[in-house]
Amino acid sequence: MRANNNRSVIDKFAKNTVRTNKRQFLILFITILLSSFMLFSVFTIGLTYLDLSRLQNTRLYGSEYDIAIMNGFTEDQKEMLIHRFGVKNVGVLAYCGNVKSSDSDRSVNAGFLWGDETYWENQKAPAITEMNGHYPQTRNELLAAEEVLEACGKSSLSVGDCLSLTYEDNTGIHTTDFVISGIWIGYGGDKASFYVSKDFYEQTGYNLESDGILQLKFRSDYITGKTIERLKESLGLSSTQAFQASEYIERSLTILFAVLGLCLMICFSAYLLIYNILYLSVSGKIRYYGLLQTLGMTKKQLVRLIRKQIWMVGMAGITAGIALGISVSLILVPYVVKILGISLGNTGLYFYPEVLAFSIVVTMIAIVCGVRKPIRIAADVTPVEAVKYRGTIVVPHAKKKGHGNLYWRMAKDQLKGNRKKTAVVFLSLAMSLIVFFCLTTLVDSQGRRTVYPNYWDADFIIHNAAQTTEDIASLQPAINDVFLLDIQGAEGVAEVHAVKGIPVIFPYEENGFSDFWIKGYTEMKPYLTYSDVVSEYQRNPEKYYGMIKGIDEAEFDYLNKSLGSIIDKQEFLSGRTAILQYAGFEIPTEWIGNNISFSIPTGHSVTHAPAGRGNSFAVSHSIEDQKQKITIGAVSYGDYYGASVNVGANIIVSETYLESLTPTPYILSLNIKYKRSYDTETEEKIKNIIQANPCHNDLLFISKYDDMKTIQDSQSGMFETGTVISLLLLLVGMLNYVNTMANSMQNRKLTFSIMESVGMSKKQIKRLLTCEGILYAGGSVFITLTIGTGVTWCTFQSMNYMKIPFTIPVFPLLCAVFLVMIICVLTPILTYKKTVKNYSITERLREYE
Amino acid sequence: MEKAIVKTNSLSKHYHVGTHTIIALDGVNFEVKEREFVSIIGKSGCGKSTLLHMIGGLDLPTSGTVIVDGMDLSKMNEEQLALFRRRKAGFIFQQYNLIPDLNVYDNIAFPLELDGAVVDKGFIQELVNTLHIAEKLDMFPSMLSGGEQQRVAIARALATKPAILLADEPTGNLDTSASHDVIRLLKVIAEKYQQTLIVITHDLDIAQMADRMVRLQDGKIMRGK
Repeated sequence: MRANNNRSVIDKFAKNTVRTNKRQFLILFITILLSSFMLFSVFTIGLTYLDLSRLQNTRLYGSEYDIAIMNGFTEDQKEMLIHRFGVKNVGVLAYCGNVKSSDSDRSVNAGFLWGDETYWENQKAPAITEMNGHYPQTRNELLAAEEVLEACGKSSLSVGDCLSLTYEDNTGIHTTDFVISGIWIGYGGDKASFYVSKDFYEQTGYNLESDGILQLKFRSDYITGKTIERLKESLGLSSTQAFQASEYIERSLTILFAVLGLCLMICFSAYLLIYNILYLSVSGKIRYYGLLQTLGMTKKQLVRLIRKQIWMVGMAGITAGIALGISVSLILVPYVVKILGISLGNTGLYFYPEVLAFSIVVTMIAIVCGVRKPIRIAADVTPVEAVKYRGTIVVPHAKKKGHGNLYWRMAKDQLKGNRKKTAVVFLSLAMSLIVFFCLTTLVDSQGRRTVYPNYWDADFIIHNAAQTTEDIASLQPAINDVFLLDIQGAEGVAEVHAVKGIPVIFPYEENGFSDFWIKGYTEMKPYLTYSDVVSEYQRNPEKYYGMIKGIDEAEFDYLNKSLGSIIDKQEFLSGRTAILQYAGFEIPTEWIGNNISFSIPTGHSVTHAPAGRGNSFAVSHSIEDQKQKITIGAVSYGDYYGASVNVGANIIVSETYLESLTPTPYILSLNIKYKRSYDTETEEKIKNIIQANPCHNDLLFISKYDDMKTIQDSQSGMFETGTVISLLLLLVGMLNYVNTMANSMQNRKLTFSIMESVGMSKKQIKRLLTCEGILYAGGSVFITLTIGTGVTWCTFQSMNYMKIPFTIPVFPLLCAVFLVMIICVLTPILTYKKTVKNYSITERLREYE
Repeated sequence: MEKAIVKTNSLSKHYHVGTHTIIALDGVNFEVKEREFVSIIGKSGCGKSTLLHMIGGLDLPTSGTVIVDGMDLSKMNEEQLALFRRRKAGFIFQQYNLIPDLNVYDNIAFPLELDGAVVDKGFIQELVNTLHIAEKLDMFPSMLSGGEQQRVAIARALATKPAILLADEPTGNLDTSASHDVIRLLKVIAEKYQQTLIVITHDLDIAQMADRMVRLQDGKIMRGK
């Protein structure tokens, strides 16, 4: 017998059945739509998230680079890097001096930087949001950030205005009139510096061979550790050169694998979604397919029919899903984000053609793989079996009669009865919860990057910045007792710790402490010679003055802990031991345990001027020259405890000891803790108190709230984008469950009707369904909290190049678990109600006769 | 004289299919006395099952009343009807309608457990012994033959000791010998537990085993024996 070519007949039949049974295919259509929507949206937003993450790094570091070679470089090294395969660009940045004062502020703390064209045009540009004017071209031109102008007391200046600065470079100290060639707004630590022209740089005495920095950016965002290692080896670095890879690029490959792992989970989630519904959809029509076989349709024709039907629905679903994805990702999300007033900065959501292709391919693969098993079931069932078929019931082995509560027992039996379906539901629910867990942990950790670690985790730090480098009398009581009382009395302030201090002189001793200090100092100042400084030191030791700073017991405990608790507390409090503080060159360990001498200058006068209020007081007294000795117990390289600009050493002693030397020391800084961190009202009150202080120009403050806002700004919508992905995935996981349950309820319609016929009330059925919902939710939550925590930890650690401690985002996770619980419980009940409608038991039973 | 346990007054049931209205029952007045065995016969679609479903509280009438054991089912809400089905009526279906994911024992004890009652295991044992399914208690419905499934359905219907047993073509899927066995068994049990038995059947031989035979035609009662 020759076979008839009846393909077109089957195709036409498939088309007609889909057209006339739209409702039956609706769930399958929605599933495929959801899968392609999820893939497209999640990957589109995910890629944007990665872009934003890199942008945040660029903004935090101030420019876009992967490797920095510091402490100078040779021209050969630069040329080699420029021509190396895989290198996108190589920029040059160099420090060339520091500003000491302006005509408006006698104590300025700012630097001079020069960057070449590649640095400025390619590496710095992504961290700049606004630029007026141009990069300096001539020797007297400066490019400034608003912040550095403010630091110079010149915030009103604009492009073209003049500015007189006293600065120090490798040739000495100079005062010059500059012209502002440009003002930029953006991100980075270089906002505290001026950019200068190449001409200016060349006359500062600095040279690229010893002071320059080479910044390299790779073409690819993902680089292996070996590539970085090979690059380092090929440079033949000298002993003084430092090679520093950004933490991001060092871990980029691990990050890539973690991202791919997440992608795989998302794709698997989509596959489960499709497989589950295809399985339920085809097995729900077994009686119909059996009927077709009874009427003479061959297995081959049946397979073709099912494939054709699913492909038609599949293609429609994919098209609709992608369209929905485009609408949501590229139109709705940015629109909502805009309405909510969230800034996405320069980076919006972009259309990635590769994501479109990927989403279509993955959905198609999921359909091809997912349809195989259901088709086999449909094709293998005989017409007689098909007629008797009453839904997907897996026959378990004979089982002893059950014990325990009827509803829980039946609910457990229901889950155990169709292990495969249960596993798929558990997996898909758990998968979306795990991905949500993972992403919220990552997003939350990005949020925690908003917290700059500062000393004592203080909410607000105020420094007395009246001091200048060489003038021992420059320090003024910008923070006085009245000001301190005002701060302590401000509502919302929990603790205030004052660091007090006075200037001291270290007498010159050959091969002694001061001699050692001079050697370290002259090494950093190439224009100075050791012998000149020694003779100057002997003549005017007060020009090289240091500070003695007193801290309270609580601050000592904190500091000592940070030093590894090496100092004996009693020794410190009684004034026998001190901690040497310096942020520059390294103190040889032999100085630890040695005595150092210092003296409080004769006739030094401390005048407490009125501050903060008009009708205050003035105290004046004189201290006789006092020579003291103290033992160095430890060295701290921290730069807290006041904005010291003095050349000489800082010695930290106990507050009691300091007060035994002088009853009225200066208050150098205040470390303030709020009752509630980031409390804007307390923040506002403190800033008002500072503003009311007549010496507010001499006050420098660091606010944790301001720091948080600055970094939040640099994150530019990362948190929101990450949250959108997490929520999308959770939503899709939930919809998968809803879909599965809807189908399952349809298949169990007869069972429920039978149960009702023997006296089970609707209330009792709902109770049974509630138990099932709780088991589904409980199971997936259990998987999430066990396996999910492991997966999240591994993903987090592999992406954690910022070394942020792993913390579970408890609140979002609890919300997600609660949502899962609610959806899991409500879905079966609502779908049951929808399935039953107002039909009587008789009508429902008759459907199966 | 036994009092009537089932009484219908002008009982009508209409179904709407699209724009058509199907009259399944048309003003049926029908009575069954306590402990009576009544068989209902008639052609397919004459309203036999509908009448039985109304008496069993599975469906509500379009008009008229159904009074069973003094309770007017037409005035009951869903919860009350469920209680009625659980406690007063035992239903046996042609398709057996066992719960596929419960084993034989759990199927039989199911209505009792729904009531929160302590399961009288002795009584269930007696039932399964009488029905010759004592060896099948751990089996699932799909592992049993048609006759065995029907016996399980009977045991389930009897488990709550209902006042009235309603059987909708209980022998429809059984061979002649098994059919007679099942009916004999039902009759013996109904007598033993003093239950009223109403059976729908196509088989005249079986119908004639009843105390009274009722014929339905086009939703109306034609005659009683």
